[in-house]
Amino acid sequence: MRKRIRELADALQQSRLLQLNIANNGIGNLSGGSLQRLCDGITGCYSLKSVAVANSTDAFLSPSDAAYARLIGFNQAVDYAGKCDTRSEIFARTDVQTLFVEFRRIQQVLQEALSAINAKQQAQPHSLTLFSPPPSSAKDDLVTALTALSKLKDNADKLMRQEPSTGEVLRHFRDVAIQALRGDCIKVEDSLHSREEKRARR
Amino acid sequence: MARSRIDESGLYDQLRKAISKQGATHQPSLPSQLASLLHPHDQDAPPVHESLTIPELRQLKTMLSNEQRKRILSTTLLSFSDNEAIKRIVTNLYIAMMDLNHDLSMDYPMNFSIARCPAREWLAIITASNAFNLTALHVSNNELHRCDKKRWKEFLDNINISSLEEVSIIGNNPHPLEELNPQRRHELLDRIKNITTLKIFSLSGCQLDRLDERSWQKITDIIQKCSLEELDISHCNIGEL
Repeated sequence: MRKRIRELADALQQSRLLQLNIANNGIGNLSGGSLQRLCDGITGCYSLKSVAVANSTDAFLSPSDAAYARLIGFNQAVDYAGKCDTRSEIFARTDVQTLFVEFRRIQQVLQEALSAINAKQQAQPHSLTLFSPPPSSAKDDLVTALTALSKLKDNADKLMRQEPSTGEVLRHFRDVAIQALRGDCIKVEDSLHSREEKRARR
Repeated sequence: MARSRIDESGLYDQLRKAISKQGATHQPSLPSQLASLLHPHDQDAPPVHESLTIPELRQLKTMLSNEQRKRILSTTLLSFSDNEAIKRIVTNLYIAMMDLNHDLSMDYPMNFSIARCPAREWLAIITASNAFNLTALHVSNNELHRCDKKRWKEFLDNINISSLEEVSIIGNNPHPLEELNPQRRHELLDRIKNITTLKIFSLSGCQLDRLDERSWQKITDIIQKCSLEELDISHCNIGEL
């Protein structure tokens, strides 16, 4: 075990800290013994209430990496000791951030598709809609959004399988956020269909 | 000592009025006048321009207590600067002045050079820091390592060990602590170690694996201080320790 890690862990354990930010330190590079000692120092500090440990490694580790189990063990130990705000840690992760960015992008595409349909309906009197095709861009947008949504769900599922400690936020994301996007897709589809039905009735 | 916020801001307005009456051509001399009032026995101070007789200023000199005078005059002196960074510091001073606690957070703006800041402005900054309760000190890319002996001593003396609650030394490539020579680094860390009121300490961005052994020991001592509640050692390369 490295000397300074031991000394840092001792100092943390003997401190009266309430909050510690130890994020972005590449602690995934530490050996098993060093990481364990650091973990003991953090969990052994009784006053400590909140620890930030995000981005412990530069790379996204797969379960087959040796460092993966060590880091998961570290995160879980800090988490179980009640020292860590798991939600904020997960939100800070770049791979999870990418999911959120993608979510917002799809949401925007769907909203634009809906407003394009609405704008077209409002701009033209009903008597003329018989000859007016639905906005083709809305259809394209819907196809794009559905493809992206399917990919987004796959990525969320993949992350959930790989990173059990991030389960809560990712489950929420998969169940609530993706459902919301599906709801938006249905709205767009309905709007497109209602136009086609009107045309059929006429 | 009980202080009256209203009275002080009234006096400050009076002072500003006196300054505006001087007209643009005379303004550059006024900081000297104010600095001389502030430090009448300072050998380095430029001579007072007797032509600039401002009744209100003379009146102020007799009306105010030393502490009030220091506070008001140092903020006024700072307000003469064209330097944007200094103006930001002045904003903090105004806030402290209007605050009944007179707590001052000295947040040196990015790229403000403590080493190259003109002597007059620096005098005003440290005078103001002493006149208020300096509760927070934030240093980043402020060229601490370029300070001459006098400036460095003044900077250290300015670290009030009985009022500071927050010290933040942040930066990267390189971090201000890494840039300092070992002796000065030790002096600075010793000073921080002696702050009895320290609650928040940030060293974000400091490559802890590159620090000399004595500095490292001082940092672990600071972590164990009874008063310390929050520690930020993010981006400190702990994975390579």
